[in-house]
Amino acid sequence: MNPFSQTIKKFIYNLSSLSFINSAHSLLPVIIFIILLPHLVTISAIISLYIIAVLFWFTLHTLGVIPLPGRIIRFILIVIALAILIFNYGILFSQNASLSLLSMMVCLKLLEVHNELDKRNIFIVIFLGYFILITHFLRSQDFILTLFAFLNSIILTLMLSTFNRKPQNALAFRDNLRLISHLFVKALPIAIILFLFFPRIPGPLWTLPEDGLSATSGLSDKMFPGSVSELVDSDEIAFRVDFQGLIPAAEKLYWRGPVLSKTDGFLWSQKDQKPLKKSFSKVIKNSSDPFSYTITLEPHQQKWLFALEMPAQIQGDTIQGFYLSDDLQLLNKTNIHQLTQYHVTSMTRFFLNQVTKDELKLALNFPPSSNPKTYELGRQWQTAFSDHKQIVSAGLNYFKDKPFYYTKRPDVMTDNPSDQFLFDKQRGFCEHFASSFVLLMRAAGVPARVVTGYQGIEKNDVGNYYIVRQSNAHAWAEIWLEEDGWLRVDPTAVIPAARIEADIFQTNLERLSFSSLNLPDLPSLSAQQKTAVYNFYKKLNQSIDNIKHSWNSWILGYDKTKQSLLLQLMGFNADWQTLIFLLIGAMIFLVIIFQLIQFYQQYKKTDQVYFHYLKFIKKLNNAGMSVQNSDGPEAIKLQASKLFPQQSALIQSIINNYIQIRYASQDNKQLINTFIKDIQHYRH
Amino acid sequence: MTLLSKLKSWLLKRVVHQDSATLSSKSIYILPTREGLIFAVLILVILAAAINFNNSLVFFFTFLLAGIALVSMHMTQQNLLGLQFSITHVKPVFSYQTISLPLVISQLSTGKYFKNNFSNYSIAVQFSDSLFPELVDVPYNDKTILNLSHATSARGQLELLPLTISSCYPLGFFRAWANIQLNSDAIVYPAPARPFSHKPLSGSNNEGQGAKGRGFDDFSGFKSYQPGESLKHIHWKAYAREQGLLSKTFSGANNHEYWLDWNELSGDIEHRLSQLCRLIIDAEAQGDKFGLILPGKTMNISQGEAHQHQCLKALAMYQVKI
Repeated sequence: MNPFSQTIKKFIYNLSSLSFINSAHSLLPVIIFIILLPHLVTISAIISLYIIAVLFWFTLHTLGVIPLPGRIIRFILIVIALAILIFNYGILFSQNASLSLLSMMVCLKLLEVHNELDKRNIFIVIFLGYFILITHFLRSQDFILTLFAFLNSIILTLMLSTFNRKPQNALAFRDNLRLISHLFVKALPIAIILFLFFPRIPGPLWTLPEDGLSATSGLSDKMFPGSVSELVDSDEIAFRVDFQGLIPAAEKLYWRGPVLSKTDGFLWSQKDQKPLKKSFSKVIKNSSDPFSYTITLEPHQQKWLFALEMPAQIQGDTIQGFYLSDDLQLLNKTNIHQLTQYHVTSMTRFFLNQVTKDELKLALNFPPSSNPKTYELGRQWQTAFSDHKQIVSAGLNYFKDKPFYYTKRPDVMTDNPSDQFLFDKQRGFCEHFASSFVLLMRAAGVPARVVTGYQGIEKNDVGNYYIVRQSNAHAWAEIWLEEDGWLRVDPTAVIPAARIEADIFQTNLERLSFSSLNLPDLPSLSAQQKTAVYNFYKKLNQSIDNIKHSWNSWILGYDKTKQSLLLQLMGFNADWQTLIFLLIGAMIFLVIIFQLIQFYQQYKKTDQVYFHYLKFIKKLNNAGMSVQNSDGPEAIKLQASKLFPQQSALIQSIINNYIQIRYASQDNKQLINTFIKDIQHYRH
Repeated sequence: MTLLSKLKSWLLKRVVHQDSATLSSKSIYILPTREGLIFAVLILVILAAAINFNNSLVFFFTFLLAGIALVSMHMTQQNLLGLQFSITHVKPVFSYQTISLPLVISQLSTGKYFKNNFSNYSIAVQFSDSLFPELVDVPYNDKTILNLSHATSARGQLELLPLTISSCYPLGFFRAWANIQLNSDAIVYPAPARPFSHKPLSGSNNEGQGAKGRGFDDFSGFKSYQPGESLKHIHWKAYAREQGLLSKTFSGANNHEYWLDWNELSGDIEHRLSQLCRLIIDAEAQGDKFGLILPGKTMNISQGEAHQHQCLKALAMYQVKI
């Protein structure tokens, strides 16, 4: 055997016996590092460096290289930590800042752990470890992260048991692991019962200042149509939709998002949003074609709640204080930091007559001294057509008849972008079409604004729900007609298929090409085989997404509504008395189950023959005999037969059988059964 | 005195004397530790966060931690349940020496307690007045012997303080404890007096020789060393072989036979007893045959370790209220 493999073998042996660790507390920095890992990759580099440095210091200390810092150096370290914190986040005590503070504090606390007997400090470090694990869920509630947190909580609990185990011995780790796994097996059903039946109190109890978390959406509250040279094509999921009942036709699938009515000819932005004063029924008239659906919205760090145009009813526990703004956008009061589920009923045929004077004014505002050619064209239409409807048709026909192309890679247009697009480049994507169209309309005196959002859906065949991705982001126009109210007009939709460049026709899943799967192009495969491979991956992707969706809906989305639903399914009233009753009942049930399992295990282990033999002796003693422990079976047989002559045959048979089984090691099932039966029937 | 220590001392008073104590669920008390209380606060904080952020996973982990704490409470109690304690075969010591009490801790699988088949880990054993416990593991279906040291004062049957058996294992959130009061056969002999000259009463077949004239020449064998014996007689080679302290015995004075009589000595009771103790030790060390006369009690002339023990025990128990 070569020395290398010997070294490996030795290493594995050491690893299995954990003998390379002189004491358990030297494992703490490693565990803390793993626990902090999801934070370390998101918080600023200098904080991560600080944390790693402190952990490294402690590791060196456990290796006996350097001593722990004294009181003064610890104080300096705390000052440095606070300085870094203020440097990064200011004095605003935001969520990110508090998480960073917590992460640094747990490391500094670690520096106070002098040895493995320093129980108090070790406990505090481990408790903070649990706390940090839970703070990860404020950022993401991924399945993988949950698994990560669960495994780490096992490790932390294992550490707790290790520090409580004295005297330590070589097998202690194995014993502790066995015990802790036992503990978790019992704790899990308790946790599940509490999760299901613990009364859910609607929050929030307090709010932290909003962080400058970067928006992850494909949408933005600002639009610079000319400045983009390539549309980022993200397969990231914006939200998932479960329709209750019918699915709307493709031309109705416009998910309303930010409404951009302010512009300087280059930049488009939202106006100051106020909640709608009027009741919704007054705004929306003659509405019909309702569709009900549940949206599971991925966190996007914005206030937007997407819904099909136009939402009529909305409910959800996780959204608090949602409202409809006066430009008819559905908004949440706070930014959406975590997965949010809400139920909407939308009317896909509607008549919107809501408008204020200010809004009309804004929707007619053509920024002066910008895009003069666009303005000129609009003015021409205004004089040529008396009817606003004709102006709209003229606008749409303009895009249809002139050689406009849809492309995802337009040229940059920064100098009067609308003029450049309409009269020069004529190649762009939805934002160019929508913004130019709106400007044309405004020039022609038709109130118009840009609406952004998502368009279309993609079916998941496995889970029978629909996905809207960031690549579904879209922009369209909304115009105001005196007799019809606000109307949706999508200038991009009039471009004939022939003038749409490349892969735009492909659905999102089809864009999951081989390259995005990181697969080789597989030139050796025939087209048919490629399709088969492709279909397999499509199915696989859909299945994975389906698991994610179920996780989102049933675990993350388990709220007061679902709790009530569960109670109703079980045939209970959904009030807190029922919940308390159920909680106590379920706990008692659990205890009984645990006891039964234990009883069964005990029963399986006890020596049935000996158990019944003792029972027999007890019966004899109750009848008046006094059998000593030292008495052998023969002696008992003799004594009992003398004392109870009428039973002597049975007594003799029982004890003879016992001797047979015990001493002649007769492993005869039948004999044992007769023996047990005899004892059970033995009466005085 | 805090409420908790009041409770603990009240519980200590309720202990019953037993030869062998088995911990049942009735005798085990359990309370959260300071760490347990901190953990409870942690759970409440996390619960508040869960409500505030309406975060299902935070809810779940709150409940998981609560479940862990709950199960650990049960496990801590189970860690003590069914343990059996007894103290047997205590080697007697002389007064003011430290006595070593072999505490036998066993866990019976065939007991009436349905418990998971785990060993009992980190069982802390301490006398109710001591500050630092001895920690020991008791393997499943097996027994452990823990040698407890106990200072002795007066002679007689050793009165043991109640023992507190406790455990914080596995997580340290709860401390389960039980008080037991074990009877033991531990005897404390009187402290031997300094060697002094004494001419004992001759025995029946006495030939008129004094205690001093004994043979050192004829080696007869070994016996285990008793405190007070001459160090010259210790078989150091055996000690080096870790065979324990052996004392060489010499024959040659086997014809010495005499009575050690209370009435021949002077002084108060304790003084006489310690003088007698010294004489017995010396006599046994010299291989003499001796008898003991105490007021109201006489031990016949004999020799050997058992005889010595009987005599010393008679001294120890002299006028001791039981």
